[in-house]
Amino acid sequence: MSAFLSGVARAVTHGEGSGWLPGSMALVVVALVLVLVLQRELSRETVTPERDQRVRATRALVVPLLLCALLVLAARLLELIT
Amino acid sequence: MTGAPVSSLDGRPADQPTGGGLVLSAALLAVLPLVAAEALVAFVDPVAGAVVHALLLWALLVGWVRSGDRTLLALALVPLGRVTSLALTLDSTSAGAYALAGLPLLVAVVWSYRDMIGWRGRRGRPAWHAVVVALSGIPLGFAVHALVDLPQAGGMPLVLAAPVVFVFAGVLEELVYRGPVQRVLTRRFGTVGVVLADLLFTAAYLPTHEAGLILAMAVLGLAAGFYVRQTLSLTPVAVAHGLLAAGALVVWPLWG
Repeated sequence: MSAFLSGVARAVTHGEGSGWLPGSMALVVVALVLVLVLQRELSRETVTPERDQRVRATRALVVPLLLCALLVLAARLLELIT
Repeated sequence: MTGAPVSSLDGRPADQPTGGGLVLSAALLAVLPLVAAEALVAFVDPVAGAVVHALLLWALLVGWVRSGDRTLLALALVPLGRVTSLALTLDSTSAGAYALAGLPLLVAVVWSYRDMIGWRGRRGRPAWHAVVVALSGIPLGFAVHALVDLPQAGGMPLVLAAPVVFVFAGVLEELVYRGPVQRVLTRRFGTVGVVLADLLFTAAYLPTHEAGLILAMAVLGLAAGFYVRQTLSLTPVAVAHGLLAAGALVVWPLWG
């Protein structure tokens, strides 16, 4: 996004000079992915074919979100290891 | 067969507002929470704003599955872009940071593009106005560079940095805001949809805290929105935005 973030946003999302934990954005993304996947699994039995088709259309957004979650987790792990 | 052309998405006549007197309030109801979340990111706390964006993304996806209203699915691209770009924000302004922050959104847009907006690419020679609009990005990029103090996107050679910024800082935003977002909003709310899409586009610039840039992008976004609505052609404004971004962030700063 060219709506690049200010220095304040960078500092806060990295947990410097704020009350947030480092990697709090990673938690937000991972939590969202988990909620969406859990919701999908819990409703699998009851969902109608029409709704199931709509659920499949959400993959276009959920998979990139999953990709983002994997990237931030990998970055956080690397940060902890090194 | 007579009558207005039927949209391939939801069976309604294309580009016709579906409501009556409640159109404006419904339109604002669809867009204002996203604008408020962007304001939260920009002026209160980026992480708290991201949490609200995440909740909105969840609500929009659930709403889409329950109602089948494609407006909700297209609008979900906005919080997805913000959540992923915040999560992948690096402590730098290098061109690589733009690519990383925009990658998930690019995947989502490319994946869902044809389904969401149902446009087909036009072939043949571009019209003269399309060339003028596309090339307008060069002087506009210089003007933004001259008037607004922006961080230079470096970190890699010019031949790599310029295309990366062109795609991730320019084209991608047009693909989202003038693509699926404007398409579903104009289908639902008529011309008001162009203004609403521009409102979302402008709100995405709030975190820059640059009043001049925000105002400029609001005006340019509105012009781009009406151009796309009129011509149904996204390529000229996408190229213009790409040239603007690559010029303002990579090329013009090299000349001081």
